[in-house]
Amino acid sequence: MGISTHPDEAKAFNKQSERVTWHDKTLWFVREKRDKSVHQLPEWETLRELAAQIKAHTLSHLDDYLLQFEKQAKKNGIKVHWAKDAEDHNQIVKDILIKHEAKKVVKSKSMLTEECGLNPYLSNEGIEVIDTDLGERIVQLAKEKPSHIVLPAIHKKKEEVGELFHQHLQTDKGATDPTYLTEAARQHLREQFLTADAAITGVNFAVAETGGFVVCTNEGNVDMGANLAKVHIASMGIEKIIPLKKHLGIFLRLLARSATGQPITTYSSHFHKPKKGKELHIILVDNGRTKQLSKPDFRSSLNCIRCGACMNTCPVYRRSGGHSYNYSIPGPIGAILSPGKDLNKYSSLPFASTLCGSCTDVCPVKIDIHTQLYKWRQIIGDKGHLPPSKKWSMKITGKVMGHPKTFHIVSLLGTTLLKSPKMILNNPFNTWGKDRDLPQPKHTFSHWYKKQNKHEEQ
Amino acid sequence: MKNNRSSILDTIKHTKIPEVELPRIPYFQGLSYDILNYFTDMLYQLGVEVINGENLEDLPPIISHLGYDNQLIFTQFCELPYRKKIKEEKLKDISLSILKGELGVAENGAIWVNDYKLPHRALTCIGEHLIIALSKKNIVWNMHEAYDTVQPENHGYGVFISGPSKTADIEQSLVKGAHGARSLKVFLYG
Repeated sequence: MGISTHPDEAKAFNKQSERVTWHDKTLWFVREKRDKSVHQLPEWETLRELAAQIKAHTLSHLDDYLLQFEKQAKKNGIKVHWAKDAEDHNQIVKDILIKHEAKKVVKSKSMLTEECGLNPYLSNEGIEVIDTDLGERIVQLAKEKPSHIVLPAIHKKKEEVGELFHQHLQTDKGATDPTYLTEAARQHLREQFLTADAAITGVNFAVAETGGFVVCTNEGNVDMGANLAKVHIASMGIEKIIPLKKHLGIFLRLLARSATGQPITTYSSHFHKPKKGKELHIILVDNGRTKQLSKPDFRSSLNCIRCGACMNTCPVYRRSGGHSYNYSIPGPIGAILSPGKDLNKYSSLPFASTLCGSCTDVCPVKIDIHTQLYKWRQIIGDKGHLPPSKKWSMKITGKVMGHPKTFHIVSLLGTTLLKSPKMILNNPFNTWGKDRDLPQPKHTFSHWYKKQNKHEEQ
Repeated sequence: MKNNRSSILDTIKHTKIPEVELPRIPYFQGLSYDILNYFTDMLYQLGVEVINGENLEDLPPIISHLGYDNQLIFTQFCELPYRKKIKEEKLKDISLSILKGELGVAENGAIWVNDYKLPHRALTCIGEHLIIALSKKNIVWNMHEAYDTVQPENHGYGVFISGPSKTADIEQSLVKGAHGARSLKVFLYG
């Protein structure tokens, strides 16, 4: 039987209804910025289609492109490593750091290192890891995980950030001004960049043709970290590869507009060779990606460029918070990636959706997210991973719907019940009654239908 | 970890995936007739100040006027009378960096800067303030045209910069000056 994590975790988030409303509105604001930005480009739909085709083509020749990338990167003086899983990845990072006697590492936002659990692993080895993206630093100080892939601390109020910074960065007690707090973080993190022994970054796009890679940030933490440290380690999922340099034109036009509504991120940094006297490493990580590649129904989930648009638009994500997904990539895309990793552990995630299709509509690389959510639900049902409440309610609904007479009796009963005082209906067993007023129909559907037919006959 | 490599590649090879053709990228037109105005407007929207001039020689009096005279200034231009080389321990004291913009992109205000005549790569971001000087002749419409022109593979490091360093990680309030330059001014000349 599956572990019903999402509903339980969401329940915890929903305890503070004001915060839920705030979280919902904040993310919807980002979604609206995205809309404004994409409507300025007449070719938006063409760009999405091209991106989807380029990704599908790349996946159909993934081994060739990885080999081409490796060859070019080596020619450029980059050291290339391959990791089958999270353990391999962490081990490779550790070995490089130990070789350089690195004690302090600055890390720029990388969801892959989150996926691999790199921070706790390195800290167990006595290596200090400092997350340098402001949002990531906030959650790191709070001993939490990012709740969003682009806006890691979107769930935190400025009062909470103020308190954290007061404790860790000695800012004034009670200070909440974002400008003041950001300045404190700037001073603190600049000091870390200048004294770090190594830098770890993610990869947004790696180009097979040139053997280089691109990382996108607004803060410039990748450039500060990677350019100051003597060793730069870049971790990338094998699906981040694209064939040609000119394809960057397509993806960079799509990424920031989908993520935050910006026309492009402030820094789009291209790394091709290490600076003389320094080292540049890249780790190509599988960690379940080849498994997902082998599933035709779910293959296109590997198109994802991690913009977060599906999260910002998802009515369930906005009201349940990223932590409720309990997976490094939350929201709709996380809900189709995670069951491929561990169907039992993440069996509740494909149900954290209304199947409204909004995620699919905004996806810049045209992943049919809501169809894949539906397909995962069927697999989860077939394998018996449904939570008992869902299993039984579905079975009963199926029986009732399949027998007209029973349906008639039940709907009559329902109409009567709905007319009863709210107290009776909104009991703990009726989860639909939570935060909702149920309608009070005057008559049943079949009654209405018969009446309607009569009218038409006349 | 050689066996990791072959095991990943073998798994992919044995996964039969139907062939998908690589699409041809069409030509995308610009969004207005006036490329220079569109670019300038975009920069303003991004919180960038635009300074117009005839040639690079107009820049020193402007910098003087901005009050940088007794401060540490680095530049990528051999024509300008500022420091071209800086010791590593001095990097953090730079008040102003003047970088060479190779190419500007009108649709998003991004300017391509690379490591040519850049003694240290952190010079793209470590100065407190940043001026990028760009010739008006080197502005293209969109990222497709940009990648037809720039050669990132010829440079160990290159970056499109489209504004001051910024963040909105605290309650979505936009704050300029996260890790990199606190401000960006673009000097358009020629």
